[in-house]
Amino acid sequence: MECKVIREMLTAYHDGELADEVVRNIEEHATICHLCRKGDLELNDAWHILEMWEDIDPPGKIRMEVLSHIATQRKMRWAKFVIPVAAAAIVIVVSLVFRFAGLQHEKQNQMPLPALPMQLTAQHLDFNEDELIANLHVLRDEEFYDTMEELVNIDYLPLIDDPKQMERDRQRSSLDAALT
Amino acid sequence: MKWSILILLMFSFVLLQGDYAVADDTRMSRNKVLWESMSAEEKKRVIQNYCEWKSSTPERKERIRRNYREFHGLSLEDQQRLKERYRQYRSLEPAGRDRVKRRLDRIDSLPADSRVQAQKRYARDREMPAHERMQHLKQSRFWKNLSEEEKEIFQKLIFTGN
Repeated sequence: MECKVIREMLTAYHDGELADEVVRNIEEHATICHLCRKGDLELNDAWHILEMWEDIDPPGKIRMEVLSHIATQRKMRWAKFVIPVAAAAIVIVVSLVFRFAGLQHEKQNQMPLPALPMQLTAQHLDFNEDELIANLHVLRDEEFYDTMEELVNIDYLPLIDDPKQMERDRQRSSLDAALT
Repeated sequence: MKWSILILLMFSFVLLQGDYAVADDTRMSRNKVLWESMSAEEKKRVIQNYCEWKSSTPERKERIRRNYREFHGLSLEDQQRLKERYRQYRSLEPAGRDRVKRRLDRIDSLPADSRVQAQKRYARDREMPAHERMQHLKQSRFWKNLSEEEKEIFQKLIFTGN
């Protein structure tokens, strides 16, 4: 066995945790290796000193401090997960609050809607003012948007060569002329 | 690091949702201001439009909305030209409007590719000077087939803003 391995096993050797064969190997090695023997003796001395050490109960105050420190450390382990989640939640809540507070402020700053003429509201029982305002941009020029395609198509009329259609138009014109 | 990315993603999501809400809300606010600034006469006209719009089919509603979007996607020059054409069209006598409509019915009966061809030719011709376009117009079968009255109407409508 190499010295490095022997020295790693010395603590287990002193604790009596090793198999008999390994113990024999360590003891044989110690007879021929000065450094490992020295390491074994030093460890042995350390064990003796530890055995002489009396277990003394710490004063209550120190005990409490140590226990509270341990409890704090345990809590910190949770904090590693809780802090980013809480931060994310705060960011979302704050952004939502700012966003919707802004909208509310905007709404509050607007003047109330003017009252509609009575006769108009009475005439149109299914009148929904919110719906009207939501579509006002379209309703203001509804007829224009309704005829927009036709207005655009006017540009294409001279560019269409359709002899069949032209023939039909000619026939229609002559029929119109005959009728008038 | 992972948490920072997560927070950033969540924050972006919240902002995006907020932006959609703000876009709708901005339009609503703008419309409210517009509504407030309208005279009683204008309001009456809008309410009549609203009633007509409300009773119309979903297809017509969608067509009007689509035309609104398309109109606002045009250049300012084209928007002005269309508005002016609309003004001219509205100023026509009912019989004149009927004549225009009858001519326009041809477009609806055209096969899709003829329409596409016409659009391409229009895109090319519109860059020409007005007098050159007028020459082209006068040489077209369409023009030759028009009555004098119709020619006057279509000249006004086609050369709006020139």
